[in-house]
Amino acid sequence: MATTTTETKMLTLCTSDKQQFQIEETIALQAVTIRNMVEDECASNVIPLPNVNSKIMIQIIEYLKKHVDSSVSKEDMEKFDSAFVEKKLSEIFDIILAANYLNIKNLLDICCQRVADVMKNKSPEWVRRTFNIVNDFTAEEEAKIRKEHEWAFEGVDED
Amino acid sequence: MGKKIRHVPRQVQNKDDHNFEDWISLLPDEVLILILSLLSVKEAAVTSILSRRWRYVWESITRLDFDAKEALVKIDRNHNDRDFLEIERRKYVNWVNQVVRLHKGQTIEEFRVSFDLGNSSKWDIDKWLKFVLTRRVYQLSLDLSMDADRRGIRHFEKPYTFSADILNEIKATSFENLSSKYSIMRHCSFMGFRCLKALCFRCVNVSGDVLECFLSDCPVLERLYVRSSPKLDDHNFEDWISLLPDEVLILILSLLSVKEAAVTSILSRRWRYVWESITRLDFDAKEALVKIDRNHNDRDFLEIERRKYVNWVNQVVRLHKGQTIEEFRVSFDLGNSSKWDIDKWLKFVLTRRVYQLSLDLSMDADRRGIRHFEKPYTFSADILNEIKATSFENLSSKYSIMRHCSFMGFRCLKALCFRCVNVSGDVLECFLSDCPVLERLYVRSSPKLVHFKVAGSGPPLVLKYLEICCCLNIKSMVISNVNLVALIYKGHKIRLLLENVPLLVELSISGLVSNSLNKFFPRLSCCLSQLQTLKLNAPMYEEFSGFLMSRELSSLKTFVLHSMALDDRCLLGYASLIKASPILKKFVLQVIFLLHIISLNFISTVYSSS
Repeated sequence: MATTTTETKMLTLCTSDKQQFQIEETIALQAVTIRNMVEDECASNVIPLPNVNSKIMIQIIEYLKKHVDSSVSKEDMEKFDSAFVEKKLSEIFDIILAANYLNIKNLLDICCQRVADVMKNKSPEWVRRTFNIVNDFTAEEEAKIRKEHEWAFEGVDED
Repeated sequence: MGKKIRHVPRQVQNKDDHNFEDWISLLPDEVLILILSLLSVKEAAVTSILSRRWRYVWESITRLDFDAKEALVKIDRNHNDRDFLEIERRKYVNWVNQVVRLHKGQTIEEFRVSFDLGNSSKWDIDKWLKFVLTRRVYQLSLDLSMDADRRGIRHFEKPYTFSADILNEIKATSFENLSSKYSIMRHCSFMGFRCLKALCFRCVNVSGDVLECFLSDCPVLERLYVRSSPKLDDHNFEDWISLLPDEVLILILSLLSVKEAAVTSILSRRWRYVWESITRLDFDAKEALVKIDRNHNDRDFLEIERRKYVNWVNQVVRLHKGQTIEEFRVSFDLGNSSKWDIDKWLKFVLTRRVYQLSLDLSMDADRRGIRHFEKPYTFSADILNEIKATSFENLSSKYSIMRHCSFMGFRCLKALCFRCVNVSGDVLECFLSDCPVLERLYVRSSPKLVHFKVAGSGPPLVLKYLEICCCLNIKSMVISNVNLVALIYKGHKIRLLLENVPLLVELSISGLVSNSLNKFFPRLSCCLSQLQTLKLNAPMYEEFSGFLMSRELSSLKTFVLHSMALDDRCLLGYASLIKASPILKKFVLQVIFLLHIISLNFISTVYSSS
């Protein structure tokens, strides 16, 4: 598709660990934060991304490259997305933070969906264990909240 | 008595074997340090009172093994006594702090911390690490197993997290100190890393990144031991989800049901109020509805379930904090007896930025097709006026220019759905004129809907999809100057006027339209040539089949006809309809004959012969 354009403009992204990535502008501009930077800063060559490390950047570029390709069918894109989020949850977490910072809405959406799927139909005890959330309520406080939202805990297993 | 007996032989021994000068104090400092470094830190510190010569020697010992086994045993014994634990912790931390503060040497053969400490001591532990890693340290061991780890019970406290920030801070200060003198050696000059041979973390939250940093920065690191680091172990990693910013947590919780989201309020304090800002409020109660259906004669049961549902929605609406609501959906067996509550919900949602609003109040009676016991809820124009009035009040002073479309609830509304809600044409028209982006409108079973005018004054309305079904008393519908794409009408006889709908491509009509289709279709003629899908469900097909055949259906791709016939002779007439539709791809004909039903699903790919 892009063959008709006279020349592909490249952007250089610099991650938190000072790695530089050269990617096509059309790919990078899918990230609203980058688009805003390019629009506001006129022609600065290197875009610093202090909140993203290179390990995560590689994965994000992989995602953006796929999504800029208009020849990919909708089903293939969905397949790609569902394969993309088949990662360790700790990695998903890093990608969420980066996608939130870079403002890539659909990437943020699929990652949030992945986390929500893990939480669906689970008891709070299970969620605590899975995500290592430390229950810092006292027993009385927890009982009070449970009572306040009685409707929510109806039919929820203790574990 | 005992004292004397013990003293005597020692004096005798001393006199006999080594009755000479205090040679040990004559040893050079470095040798004394060597000797003291073979003692425990406590034993070494005791030597400070031997004599002036010894006063500061111990402060340069090279083995800093902060061992406190005895205290740990006591803690284990009193494992339910949190106060005792805290006292012992304070003692230990103060001890290490003092030694670290006094320590003089630049070389540390071994630095070992071993105590029951969690992330609450982070500030101190960070300081110790900064201390030791800016010296020539050979062995570094951090063992922070907590009581809970040792006894395998639930944690009260998070383990200490060794964050990359500490490393970066150490590197930064090392650079500063050294950059001027040894700029060439800069990138591996931070002392703490140059000598480190053995590194041990136990019950310290240390990530792979931090460990990798050690591996790459410590040129002689030979041993690495990591035990129970939740950050390293994926099945038991750190609680990263609680570190996500609120807006992301709200995104995640909005993908769950309202109940699932509310359950997260007890996960921890961090989660206590997050769910109150979720953007999808879908009050789904299928299970309760199924139960009601099963007990459909039990009015008391119905009333109990209704009260439960109403209380549920009331509570969530009362607690809700967000100003944005992607979806608000009420779906329950509720009638006009719940008007007070439903009005309140509508006022709540329409004063927020709501995108989709759906009110489905089908009652048991509707579902089972029996006589109503109760009137359906009536959405009165008063509610709308009240909402507008309050919105005006709040906004008039600040944004007087934006006044006439400034009430939030209407500004974003894209989809509106009323089912078994008594809503009049006036109220619907009010929505159409006040909601600048309303694209979908669905109304089903509204007895109050009689005359409905969907007409843009000035620029065309942006409404794309309009579906009106089963409104018993509807008489007329005027659709004019609208960017309508699809129109679906099911119901009784109606006077339908369509004009200036340039984007309309799908039309679906079920039931009688006007007295005769002959009167209806000429009014349609303006848009027939642009239709891509036409679905009709009406008797007396002969009348309009003749009409349709005389028209050019130049865009028609799908034609579906459900109709009744007396015999099969007129089916042949449809051959000419196909001719009038040059790009027809799908043609479905379902004809109900007097005594039986035949169904013909006839799909032709492309019709090209002329």
